[in-house]
Amino acid sequence: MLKIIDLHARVEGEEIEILKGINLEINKGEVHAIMGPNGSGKSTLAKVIAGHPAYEVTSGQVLFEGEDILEMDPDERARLGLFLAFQYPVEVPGVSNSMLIREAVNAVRKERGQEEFDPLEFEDFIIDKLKLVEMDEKFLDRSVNAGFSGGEKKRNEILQLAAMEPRLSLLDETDSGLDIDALRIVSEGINKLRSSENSFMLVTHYQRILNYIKPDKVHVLINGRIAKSGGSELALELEDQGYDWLVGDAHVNGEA
Amino acid sequence: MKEAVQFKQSTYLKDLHENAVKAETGVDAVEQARATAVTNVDAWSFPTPRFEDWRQTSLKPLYQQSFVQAAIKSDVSSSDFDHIRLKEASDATIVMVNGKFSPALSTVGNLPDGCYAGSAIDAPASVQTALAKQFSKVARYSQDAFTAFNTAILPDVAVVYVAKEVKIDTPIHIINITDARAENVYSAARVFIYGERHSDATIVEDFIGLGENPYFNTAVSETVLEDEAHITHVKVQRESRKAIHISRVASLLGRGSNYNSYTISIGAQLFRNEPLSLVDAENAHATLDGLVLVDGNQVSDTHSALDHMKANCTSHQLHKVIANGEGQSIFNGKIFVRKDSQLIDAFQENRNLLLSENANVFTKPQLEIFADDVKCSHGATIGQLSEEELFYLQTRGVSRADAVQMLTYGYALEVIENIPVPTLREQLSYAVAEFTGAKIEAQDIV
Repeated sequence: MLKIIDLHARVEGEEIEILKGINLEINKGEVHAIMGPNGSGKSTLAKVIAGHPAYEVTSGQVLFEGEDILEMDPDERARLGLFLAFQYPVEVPGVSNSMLIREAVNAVRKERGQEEFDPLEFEDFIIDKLKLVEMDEKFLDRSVNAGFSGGEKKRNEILQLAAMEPRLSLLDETDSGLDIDALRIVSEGINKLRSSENSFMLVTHYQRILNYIKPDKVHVLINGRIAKSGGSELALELEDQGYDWLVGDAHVNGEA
Repeated sequence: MKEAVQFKQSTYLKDLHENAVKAETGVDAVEQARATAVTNVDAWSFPTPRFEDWRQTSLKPLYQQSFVQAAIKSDVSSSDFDHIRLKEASDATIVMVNGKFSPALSTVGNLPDGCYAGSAIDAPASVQTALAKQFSKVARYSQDAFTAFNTAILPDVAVVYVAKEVKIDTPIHIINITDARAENVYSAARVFIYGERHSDATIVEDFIGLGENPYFNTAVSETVLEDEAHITHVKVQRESRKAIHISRVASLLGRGSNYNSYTISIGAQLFRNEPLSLVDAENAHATLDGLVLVDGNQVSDTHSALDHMKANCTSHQLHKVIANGEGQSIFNGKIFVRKDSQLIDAFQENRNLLLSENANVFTKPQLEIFADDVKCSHGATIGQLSEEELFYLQTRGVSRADAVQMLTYGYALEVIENIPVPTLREQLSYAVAEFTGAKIEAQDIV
């Protein structure tokens, strides 16, 4: 599904690299957790895969279904089936949620050679998806994320994910700022969307969400590199011991 | 037929006036004001670029054309303006053609007792009293040739009168039509709105033009709010692209009153608007929001003045501009807080969105504060769309071009969504979508 080879990236116009050689492979049907301390580059990794214009890839490859996507615009990547759930979903005053999601769904459908939904068909389609994240229909008429609570914004991200039916979903700290109920709703939503056909990359600072969503693999990102990979038990270890023991390791490896 | 009036530097105003037929409404208040205005028109001239307030805006489009006065008789029919009708206003639609009330095209009979919508000429005694008290006394523009010209030649006055303690639930729609199908014309639209104590109403003042010829429209409206009156006043300037529309929108606020005004500037080649809000009593609130869309070679100029003459008042002014093509927008927002006007909370913000390299905006917030215990905030931004918002939409599969359209549409809607008339919001949403190229469906209207 996704193969990242020696990926280096920095903020456009700056010298310092944030990603310093990432290698990662996510297979069809797998859920991978990317963990790490603040500033380790885990959010940057998600944004670079999605094509954020603020970052410049200096070397390496990102293959999605075997195709190098680094030259593609973010919208092309999205239409191919790549989805980024934002850590801080952007408020778009004046653009209704239904307008954005309908455009998004139809963009994807068109790409797949499917008939686009008319507004009524879309309404039927989206009602089911709303149930998945326990959102009221009235959220469709509101401006995208404008005035939404933190939890509502995150649920709205999962609603968009559900509607666009991506093959690979990048969830950037979707758990941050959520109370227990919202975390449960969001996690259950994601679990229902899991299948043998799609994959997830969960970027998270805490192990908490992994109590709900069991990952196949856990990677720890330290200072722009993957310092350790393991099974879901690695997350528990990190919860107990923090990241310090790995930060030391990374330095040793870095200098070696 | 009279000959069209050609521009001559010092005599143009006088010539235009002399070319006009001598108007007579029979309404004392109006005719008294006219007498003063005629004297002024003879003595004054239109502003030159040497006037401080006219440095950015050229009146060349006015001077390069010649005009005759628009005919009072016109064969305008309902089908000429059906597309801008507001279904909420089916009880009260005032249609003014070339400045003259059209009984045949208007529907004004279904208002609550004591209220009135129609021509000043037919107005009942209570309305005549209000006219006598305030007509032409709210539009306090100093040495203003346009107001004087309007007052000197106006054939009629559209009046909305809201009686004490009456809330009119449905909006009142004033449709001002200038008929420029046959020739270049000039006309004068005049509106007088009066809210008695504790009254509540929404008035939409709308401007369209017919035909392909250039025309020069002077519009003056005056709104008086007695104590605790609530008036929402929407001005929709959707004139033809050949129009020169020079406008004065004045309001006088009583104690505890609430004046919410929204000006939407879509049409005209040259639009100059001067909102003036006189907050002359305590505990009053004034909103002077605006949305300007300019492209092609359009010029839209707002010179506003919000005068806090008394203490304990609030005001809100959000003026948003989208400039494309070679469009030009000018904003000069004056806020006065007089010496004894303490505890004023005044907010002003002018946001400009530039969609092309050749578009031009000027912005000048101008706060003159003489009281010491006030809260006045002002800000002006000129910019492009946010990259973060564009990226967000792109990650949803929306192309960059479509994302630009969607965000521009959303940006404009911040002003439109406050207008309490659903049909108008819908019409304006479509107008904005047409301007930005955004694709919207009926379900998307906020």
